[in-house]
Amino acid sequence: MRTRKPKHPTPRPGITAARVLTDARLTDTSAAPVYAMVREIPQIVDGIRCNCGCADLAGFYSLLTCYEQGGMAQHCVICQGQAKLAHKLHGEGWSLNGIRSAIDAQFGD
Amino acid sequence: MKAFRALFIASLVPAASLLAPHADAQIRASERGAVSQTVDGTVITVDYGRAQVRGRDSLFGKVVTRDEIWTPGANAATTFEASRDVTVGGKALPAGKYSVWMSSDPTAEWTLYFHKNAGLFHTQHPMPADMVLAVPVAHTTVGEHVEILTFDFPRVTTTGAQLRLRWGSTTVPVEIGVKPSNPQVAMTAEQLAPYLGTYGVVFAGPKGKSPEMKLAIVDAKGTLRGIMDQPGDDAMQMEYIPTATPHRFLPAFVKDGKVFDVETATAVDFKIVDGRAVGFSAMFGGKPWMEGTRKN
Repeated sequence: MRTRKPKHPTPRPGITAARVLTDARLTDTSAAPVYAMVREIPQIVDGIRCNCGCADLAGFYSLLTCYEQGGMAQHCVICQGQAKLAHKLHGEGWSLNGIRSAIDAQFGD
Repeated sequence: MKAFRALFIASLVPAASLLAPHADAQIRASERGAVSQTVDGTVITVDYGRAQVRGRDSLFGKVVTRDEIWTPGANAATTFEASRDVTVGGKALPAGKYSVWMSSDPTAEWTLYFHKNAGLFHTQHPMPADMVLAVPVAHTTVGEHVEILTFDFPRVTTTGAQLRLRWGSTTVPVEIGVKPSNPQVAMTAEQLAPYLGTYGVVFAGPKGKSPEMKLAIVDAKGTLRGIMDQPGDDAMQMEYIPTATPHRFLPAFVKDGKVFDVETATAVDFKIVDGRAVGFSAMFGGKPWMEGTRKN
């Protein structure tokens, strides 16, 4: 059970999905629907900490980074699970803080 | 004249008997007192005679002699009762009622004892070998002056409480631990699946129903966690603890990832249709106070 409160990044002003890998660059096309979800809400995904462990690596800023560099999110169930939950809740009108809390509860340490 | 005197005295007897206080209503030098604390359903009660310092100095070592096992109180021995099994200073003590004793030699480590006979008088010192439990206790002698011997519970958590004895300038704290009434049991993915999703929730209040709020129920490492979307930095989180009744859960408040308060009076009942929850309701005082409808 999680005992510490993870720090979520602040979404960068003007952030877009321009660097999210295109379907053509995916080696695992089964991940394409999740990538499409991320492209719809980059400003939300950029405000979420990735809980798969990559957040502590140099160069990573947010969950959005997982979908930009090296295509790691194609093979990570946590990256994909967090994005799916964020997309679903955002579609239902949830606030970013509410989405973060739900993600922490399900995917947190 | 003698007859007159006898008659006069006889006439006074009924009035005197009415005025005479009963023995059990006499003022006592050490009045009886009791303190009780509930911790997660376990009720802990200490009943004791409240001895007073009354100007005496050197309570420990003089009033309570070094070689004495004494009951921390006055007259009938102090009793400790636990409605369920507990730990005292980390050592197990079965549920029950015990008399309490203490060795308090100022030059040695102090020990708190529990004896199975709760009906002893303070002069009936049991032998240490007859005690159910002996717990080393720390003590300090730098506290404020407390005239009347006092037991209290200055700290209560979800898993225990601190029982504290104070008399004169001496303080003796001891930690009491309890067993959780609703131990968290991980549910399987199959058990969790019917309830996961998002719900619209309304609360019943004195002015009618509240605006609908958003609730997500997620699988939090094998437990059912409800996240309420609301303004502010922290969304309210509830953990739903399964009960013996199918589809009934006890809501528990979560803070920093940990359950800190189980609400036993407002069980949540999920309505299941074709193996999937379509909503839930919670009752309080025989009336529904929260209702949820599945949104997704």
